[in-house]
Amino acid sequence: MAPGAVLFVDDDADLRELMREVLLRLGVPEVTGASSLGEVQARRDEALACDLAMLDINLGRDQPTGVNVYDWLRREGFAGRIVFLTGHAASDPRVREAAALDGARIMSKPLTVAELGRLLEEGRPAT
Amino acid sequence: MTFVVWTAIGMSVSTGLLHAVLGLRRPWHATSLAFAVVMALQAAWYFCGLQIYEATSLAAAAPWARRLTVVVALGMAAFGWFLAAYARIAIPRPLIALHVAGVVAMAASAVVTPMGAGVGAAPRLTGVAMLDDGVVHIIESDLGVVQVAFFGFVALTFAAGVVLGIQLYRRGERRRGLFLSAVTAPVVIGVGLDLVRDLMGGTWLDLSELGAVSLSLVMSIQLGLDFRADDRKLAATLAGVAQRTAELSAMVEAALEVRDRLNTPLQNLELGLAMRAEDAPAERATLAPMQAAVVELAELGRAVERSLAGGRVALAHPEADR
Repeated sequence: MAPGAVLFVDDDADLRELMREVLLRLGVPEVTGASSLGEVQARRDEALACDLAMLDINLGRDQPTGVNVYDWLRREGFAGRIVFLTGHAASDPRVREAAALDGARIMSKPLTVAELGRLLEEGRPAT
Repeated sequence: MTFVVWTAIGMSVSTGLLHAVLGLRRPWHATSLAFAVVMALQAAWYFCGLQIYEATSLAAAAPWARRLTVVVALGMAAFGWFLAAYARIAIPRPLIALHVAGVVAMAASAVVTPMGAGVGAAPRLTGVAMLDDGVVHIIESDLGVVQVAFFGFVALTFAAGVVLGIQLYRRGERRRGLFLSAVTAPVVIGVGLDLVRDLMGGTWLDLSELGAVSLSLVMSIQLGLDFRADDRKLAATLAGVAQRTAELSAMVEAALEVRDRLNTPLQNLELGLAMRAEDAPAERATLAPMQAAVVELAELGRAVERSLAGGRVALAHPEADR
């Protein structure tokens, strides 16, 4: 069974494009990319239909963070898994805030393709 | 007369309390603490002297003379401590040993003699008429070598203060040196005159008591000035430490920011190289070192994070290290 749709939020356009390519190759049927909370909100239906959300914590200076996206998704009833991707140190206050969220998982950049594959595998129903 | 002595006791106690409070602040201020002890013993000395002034018989005065001797012995020990702390010098060990021996001998005399080493042979209680027509009593006696040594030891201890004051003055600490010499010299002179009085059979009151009053007053002012100066130095040092901490913290944050910003390009490289390797199997051998380089760069970044993250926490919460 193929993994479900993935929402990928990162402010780096190159990374969004590469991640989309890799996820599609790993069997993800649909990848919704967004650079900010506003873009996620604009694509609300697509975002909420995903099974997995991969959120960058730092979405640019003075911009809402990945934690804000998490809050919005949960408020809107998003039922899938949420994983934070970050390049920041574990001691960073934003990372600490994300780590304290219920059901959230933190993964450090750079992720290998193998790690991405395992992340998707974890979401598959047992057969 | 009683009123004057009680006033002196009140001054000594209040000065002692003030300097005890100042001395017990962290970090402990040894000079203030030592001075507080000196003042407490000075109050006890005045009190013992008052009991002798008011005694109606030699038998009643004798126990107070012994207690006075013990108080003077302890006072000499405390004053030695105060001098060392105030002058901030390391006193040679032989000198300390001599001083301690003198203190012990003085205190022991209160146990083995009827009235302590300060009272010689044939003691008698003599009335001294005061200006207010009242009468107080002092113990007169025929002084011997022991009594001269007793007063000499007290005078030498205070004379050490005069010498240290001169040394401080020469060292550049002019105000502190002048204060120390100015407050200890009158006590030396007072003790000397008291000794002359006893040798000549005079009947004037203890002049050393007046010297002690001036010591407590003037030295208290000087220590107050010292304390304020030390407090200012401490505040300046703390401000300097806070500034260095802020600078270090900014450096740590900058280093972590650089490390963090490297991760997105590294993620792009990681994914880009992986896809290229899949699309062009013939290039895998060429791409492998690049992929290994990305892994190594990522590990280096994590090493930087590990070494700096502890510093970030320590700088943000310096009190946690205390």
